[in-house]
Amino acid sequence: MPTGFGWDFKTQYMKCYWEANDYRDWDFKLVIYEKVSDRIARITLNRPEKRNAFNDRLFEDLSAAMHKANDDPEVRVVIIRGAGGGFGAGHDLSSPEGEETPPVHPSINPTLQDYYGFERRRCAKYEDVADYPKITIAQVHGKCIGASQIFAAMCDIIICTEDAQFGIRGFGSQLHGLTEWPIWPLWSNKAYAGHAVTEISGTEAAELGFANKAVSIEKLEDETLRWAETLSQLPSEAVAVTKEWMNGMLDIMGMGGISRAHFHAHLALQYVRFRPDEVNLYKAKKEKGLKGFLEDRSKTASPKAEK
Amino acid sequence: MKYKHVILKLDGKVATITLNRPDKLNAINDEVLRDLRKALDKIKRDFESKVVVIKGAGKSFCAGQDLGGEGTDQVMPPDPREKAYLYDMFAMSLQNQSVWQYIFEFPKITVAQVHGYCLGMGLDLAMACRAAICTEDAVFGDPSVRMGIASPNPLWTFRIGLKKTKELLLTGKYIDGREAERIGLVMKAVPADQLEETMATEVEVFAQSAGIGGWDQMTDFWCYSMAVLDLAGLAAGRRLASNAHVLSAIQRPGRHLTDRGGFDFYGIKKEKGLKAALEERDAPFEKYFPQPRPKKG
Amino acid sequence: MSTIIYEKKDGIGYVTLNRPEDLNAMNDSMLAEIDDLLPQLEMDLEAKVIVFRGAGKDFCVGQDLSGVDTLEVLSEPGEHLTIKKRMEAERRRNRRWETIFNLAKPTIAQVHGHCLGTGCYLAMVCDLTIAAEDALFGDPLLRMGLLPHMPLWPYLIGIKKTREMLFTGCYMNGIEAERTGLINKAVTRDELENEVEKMARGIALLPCDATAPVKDAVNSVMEARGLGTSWRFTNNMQLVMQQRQMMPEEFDFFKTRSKEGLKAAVEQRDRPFNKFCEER
Repeated sequence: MPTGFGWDFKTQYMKCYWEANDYRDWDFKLVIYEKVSDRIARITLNRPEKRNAFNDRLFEDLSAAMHKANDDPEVRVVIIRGAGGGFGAGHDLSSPEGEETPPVHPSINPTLQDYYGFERRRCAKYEDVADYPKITIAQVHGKCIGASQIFAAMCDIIICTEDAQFGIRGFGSQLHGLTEWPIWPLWSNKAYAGHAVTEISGTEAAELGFANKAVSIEKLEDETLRWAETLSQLPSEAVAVTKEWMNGMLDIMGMGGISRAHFHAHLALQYVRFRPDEVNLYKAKKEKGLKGFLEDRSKTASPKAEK
Repeated sequence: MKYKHVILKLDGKVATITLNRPDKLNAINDEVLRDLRKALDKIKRDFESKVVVIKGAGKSFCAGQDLGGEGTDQVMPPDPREKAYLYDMFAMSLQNQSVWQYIFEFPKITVAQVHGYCLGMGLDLAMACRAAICTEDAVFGDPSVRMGIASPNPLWTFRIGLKKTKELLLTGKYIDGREAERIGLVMKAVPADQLEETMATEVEVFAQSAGIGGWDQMTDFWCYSMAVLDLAGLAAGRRLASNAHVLSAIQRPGRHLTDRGGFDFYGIKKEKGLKAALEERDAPFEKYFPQPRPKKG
Repeated sequence: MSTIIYEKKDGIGYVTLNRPEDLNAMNDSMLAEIDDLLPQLEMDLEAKVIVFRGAGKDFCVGQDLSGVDTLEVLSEPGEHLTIKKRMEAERRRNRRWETIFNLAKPTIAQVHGHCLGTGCYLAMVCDLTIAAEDALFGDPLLRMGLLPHMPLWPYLIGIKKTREMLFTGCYMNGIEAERTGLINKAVTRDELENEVEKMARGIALLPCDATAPVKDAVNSVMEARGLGTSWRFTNNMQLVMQQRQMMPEEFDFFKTRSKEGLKAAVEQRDRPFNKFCEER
């Protein structure tokens, strides 16, 4: 169904992607699916040349893999990790237009109606992993930013390296929602308020309650498997109900409003005007390409930024 | 001078509000609230500024509501022996938090620079800022319970969690800057001679902290953060805490806290003066919760 | 003999869980005595602050798992109750914790030794918790296929730590409990009584009319933050958990207890997790 964007609109309503049957016999291109044991499935995001940034195909492969794990009655725990140097760099800002991942250039001029659906889907699909009925463990090393950070935050458990990087200066995510909720107390000066650079290490993440454990890179895989093996002892029915309770608690605690706040905030991005001293995202990307834009951006973020 | 009790300085990216009643440890009365609001209004309209530093002149950041002075209708409940109407009590209670709410929601990055005492309403002010940086020997606390008053500030549990909130509010005890940093009440506690330099560095970081969508994006996201917090209970919490505050301050002769063994602050103040009243209020607690004090000099 | 002892001294009310030979495990008799005591605690203006503590070597090891005198404290699968009766039972089960949370009087939990399951819940709903450094906090209910039914977990320690604690069923010692926000302060075992006494005496200087609205203001904000709804929601999810089918290969605590006794059942419940928890 064509939209004002000029490409096919997949669906405005989120299909629960791990329940849909579209993923039987899926051909995994950008993701590796394996069973470490009867009860443990492991999904590796496999786009290392692009730092596992999400394009449409990577996300669909991930959905298919999670579906496969959910469909397998033996599997109780799902590990998600990234190939190469990091967990994930978020949305692939260099994806061609027509994909769901790059920011929509203002010249496309979508109608609000189209854009509501588009952004709701774009945001919700990473948030939805919170509702996955089996235990999810994000195994994080290197950079974990943007949409990848949201995905990890929504997993049950995060095991990371000490020098993993959550968030990135100059990119910014001052939205007190998805990527900060695991930090507790929610508005503590220890967390956001103390980190205007919005970038924290794995060690810091573990101290703030964002990640469960930070270890050296050599120990990362074994530590993750240790948690997975232990948690795979829990009966999956009981886990599904308990997760439903925990996620319900999150909704009640206020996270229910975050999804809407998240995509609303994105909508407003269509209308930002850059100040004279700011790097204009759209202009810089056009003139210098993505790499050039990122270089410009990181120059303007204060070099003295400390944690 | 435009403002009676605050000094406002606009300097490119950084606006600074200095509480300026040093002889009263910057205690807050109705005029201070008015000045604060006017200064904030002005900063809001100033396109250039991105960070707002709030600090205090003299030896302390702010010792709280002006317990001794005149012109405190907005900040203090009336003397319990006067026959206040519920109407006035409710109106006062919401009003006295409104400036802190304004600061909390302010669309620029507010940073409290704290030295010396930061008590009662002074702490409400610091807590409302997005971040706070203090000296190691700064002193934080809210002794309202010792006067039978409940704090109407809803931010406590969001900042330091439920258990620590109850500890500080049920005892009225004070903590120093280091403890404040440990529990997340402030971002950083530094030796006094490093405060200015630390502030300068952090303010520069804050000023550069916009994301890829610039300050327009920052403002957009901030407004959503405020919506999310309200949804997370802050909006209703503010009203409920304000109402509990009224209940605590409402008294009728014969049914007053002091008739049931509570501390008669107003009586002792009238008889012996403010200093004596404060000392008598806190003395019995000293052996259980020894008060840290800012270093001299 | 009473399973609860209440004493008053110098404006402080001490509630001692008194089944030391059973590590103060909570059974129906103890719950009934707590229920009877609660109104008295609130109404007694001479008790300005209430301290909960445990006789013997532990604070409280949790629900009594023996199956004797435990219909109220622990729902067991296979009970043939209607939905209506189950709902009432769940509401009653949790109402107690909600009542203690909202008691119009400051409460302090003095914790040493094990503080597990409903024992941990008691410590959590108290306003302040002071513990020995080597006290052990935990909630092993999920290992038995039951829902850990305390909504305060995510409010106190955040969602990530909550998932960790409740999925693994591991224990947290006093030091970690202080760091994560579960308790106020961890001190050495020798200092524990003094530390609590200091806190209690300090608070007992204040008349009830001073502390009641202060506590109410904070609890009101918590209610606005969703805690009010959370109690009901937790009751309902407990109901869902009870209705589920046991999976064929799933460890059945209650069947094992019938066949091999309580000790064996507990040992088998914990065995798959012990190594992980030791190395955590």
